[in-house]
Amino acid sequence: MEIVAFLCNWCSYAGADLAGTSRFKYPANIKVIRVPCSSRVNPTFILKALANGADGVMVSGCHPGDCHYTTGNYFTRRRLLLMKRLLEFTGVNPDRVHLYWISASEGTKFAEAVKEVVEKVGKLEKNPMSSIEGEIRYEKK
Amino acid sequence: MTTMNSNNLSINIPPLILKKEYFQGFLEAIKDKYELYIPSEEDGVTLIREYSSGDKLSENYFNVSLPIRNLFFPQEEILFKFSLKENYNLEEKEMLSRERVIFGVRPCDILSLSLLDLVFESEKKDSYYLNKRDKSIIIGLGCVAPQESCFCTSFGVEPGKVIGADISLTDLGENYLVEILSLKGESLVNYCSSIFSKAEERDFLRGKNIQSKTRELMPSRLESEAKPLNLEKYFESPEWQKLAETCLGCGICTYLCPTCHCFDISDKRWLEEGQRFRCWDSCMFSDFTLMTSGHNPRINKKERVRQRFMHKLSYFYNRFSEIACVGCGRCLKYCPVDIDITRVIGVFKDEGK
Amino acid sequence: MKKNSLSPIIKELLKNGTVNYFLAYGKGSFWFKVRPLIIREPVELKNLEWNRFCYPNLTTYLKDSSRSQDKIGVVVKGCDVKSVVELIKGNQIDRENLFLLQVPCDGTVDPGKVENLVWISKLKVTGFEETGNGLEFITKEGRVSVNKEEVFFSKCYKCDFAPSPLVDRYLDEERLEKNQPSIDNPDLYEELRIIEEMNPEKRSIYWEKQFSRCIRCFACRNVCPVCYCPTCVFDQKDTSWISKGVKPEENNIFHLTRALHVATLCTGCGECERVCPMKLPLMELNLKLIKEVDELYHYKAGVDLQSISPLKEYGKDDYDEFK
Repeated sequence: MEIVAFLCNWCSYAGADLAGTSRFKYPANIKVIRVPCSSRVNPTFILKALANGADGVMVSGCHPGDCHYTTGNYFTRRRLLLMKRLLEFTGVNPDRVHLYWISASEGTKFAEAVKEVVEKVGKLEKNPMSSIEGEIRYEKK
Repeated sequence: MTTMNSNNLSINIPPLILKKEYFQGFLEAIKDKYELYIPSEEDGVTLIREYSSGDKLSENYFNVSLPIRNLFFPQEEILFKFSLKENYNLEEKEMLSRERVIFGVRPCDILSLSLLDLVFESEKKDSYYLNKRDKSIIIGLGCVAPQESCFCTSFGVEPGKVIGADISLTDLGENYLVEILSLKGESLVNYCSSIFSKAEERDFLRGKNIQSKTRELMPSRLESEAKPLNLEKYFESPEWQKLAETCLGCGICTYLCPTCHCFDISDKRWLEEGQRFRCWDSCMFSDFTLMTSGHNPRINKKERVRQRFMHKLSYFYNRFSEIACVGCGRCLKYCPVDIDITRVIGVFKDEGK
Repeated sequence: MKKNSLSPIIKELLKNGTVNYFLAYGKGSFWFKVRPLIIREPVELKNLEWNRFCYPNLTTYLKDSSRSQDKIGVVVKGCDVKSVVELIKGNQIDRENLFLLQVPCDGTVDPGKVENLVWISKLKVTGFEETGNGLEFITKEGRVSVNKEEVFFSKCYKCDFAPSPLVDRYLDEERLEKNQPSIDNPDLYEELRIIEEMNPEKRSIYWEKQFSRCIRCFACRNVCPVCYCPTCVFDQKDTSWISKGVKPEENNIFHLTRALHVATLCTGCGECERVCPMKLPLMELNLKLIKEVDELYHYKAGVDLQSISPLKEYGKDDYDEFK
């Protein structure tokens, strides 16, 4: 199982760092992509990740009100809410896409969030959006 | 044309009758031995789809929305797969080995295949296309009710009569009149010969009558046979701008055209493996002629619309002595803004070659 | 529906220089089609047409016209005005350079629905005439009457037309007042319910089947009046969000992205669905987003020039289902 995680540079990426330096355990299924702000995550990134074989996508940013750019994550919140509703409407399980608010000091929350995402995505069947043929997908590791 | 018609020298089977009550059985019989494709309707769209038991020929079948070329020159076709591991493996695409039967192809689309043959066979032989052509048995079905967008008679097509296929079917109401046009057709008929009965003289005559009658039902979009046009002379004509100014630049006319054959080749890569594929491309897209340098010789819609019509009516004729249009009417029917090839032919019609 | 009264007005506007050219409907190749007509000279008015089949939304030709100084006149129906609102908000056209001439419309006819009623019986239709309550199709074997309301585009049943202050001139003020929505309190999201009630697997199969038909002709994108990016994200050469080939799995990247990009801009004109040669139910995606935006942020596109798209602003106390 592979989860693509888009983490905002200022909070969530630092939170992930803290989880690492504090030696909190979390599943190794996530592949982190650092973005300047959670609002940098274009819905197309998420669709592309799913089409390229990711089983789930996690987006994480600063808590609302704490954005490094003051308001970025408010936009993320609206955008991803609409996107999740649309995905659900087209038959994609909403548990494939997750959004969390994780600050730089929340190493434990980050570890917990990853565990939760992995657990939820683990329950789902094979990603129907994946355009990668089975053999290529699993051999590439 | 040569692939299809070189072998129809000695056909000895007289015309046959296929009763419509046996039609489904006929499809089932073919399916046992061949891959079978028939026009079927789903969600209001009629397309040629692979037959699975119980599928019905779509009712009031006029023609398929996507042209038949999709079965010979698919919208996307993987040419080979590659791997960077070990010995840099190349895995070539498997060619068709099993014969397939394509049922219900209309006369205009059959003509379009002979035009595509010119492209894919004349200078360089395209093995992907020719393999599919070689392994296909085409059962043509003559039209009985041409639509308003039809103008195939302007290109020498007899809408009721199937020419250039392997087997010709004519709808007699309760029966089909079956005529065998090639050795491939003969082998198919021999394979399930018990389904057919011999056609009486009067059935045959009735069939011939129906075949020629369809022409009378044709709307007259173009007054006469389409002649190749000397469009080069009109390269700078202001008419092109007028034609193009409402064009949306979508790919409907090219993708739905049975004779359009432009393609692009591209790779899709994963970490250590990938595939090379070719796919349809459209001269109506602005990036069709975009060069690596950033220069685009056909920057405006005017140039692109002109290119499409020039190619169809003039350039193709210069190379192959045929006009690249069969009058199927798809571009007329589906163009969202009603850009009409018959109008173009009309505008320049006095300028014959 | 009179085209005769339209012609002198356009002629006058061209003559007195109010507009440089006029976007209108012209005679099409078939009785069920009209052709967008760009009128620069009064002589071109001879091709002018106004009938039940004037369904195209001409405002799509206004995209990116703020760069030219041309003054443009447009023949609009009530629903087209909404697209104009979004085009002005999107800085695609300057209000000062626009002249809106609204024609009274109480529904446009969907040729697809006529085909189901009339064509399929293999009658050759050569034309049509408007009668009191219906349309009469002229065939070689006589006339076939059809109740008008059976053959309207589905958007026409939900028409919520209200006179707009943007419109410069109404063709026929009297008829405009009688111009009422076809159904009282229409169920705006009727089509969605069937899909929303499916279980997720069925929905997934449904959409997979629909998307798999897409041939990527991009007509839905190009015809859309509010799809006005100078370079579409799918036309960018240095990134490849979707490959050039047609893989069904990638078709949903295209269609979902397109729907999300026009979310809060889509006025529901239905052009994307109308032009689709493969009959993809694209309006279902758009309608779903219109519905969600309305429920979450109480916003509808195309209503007025002042309100701001909810995706361009934010609320601190927005609904938050994320942890």
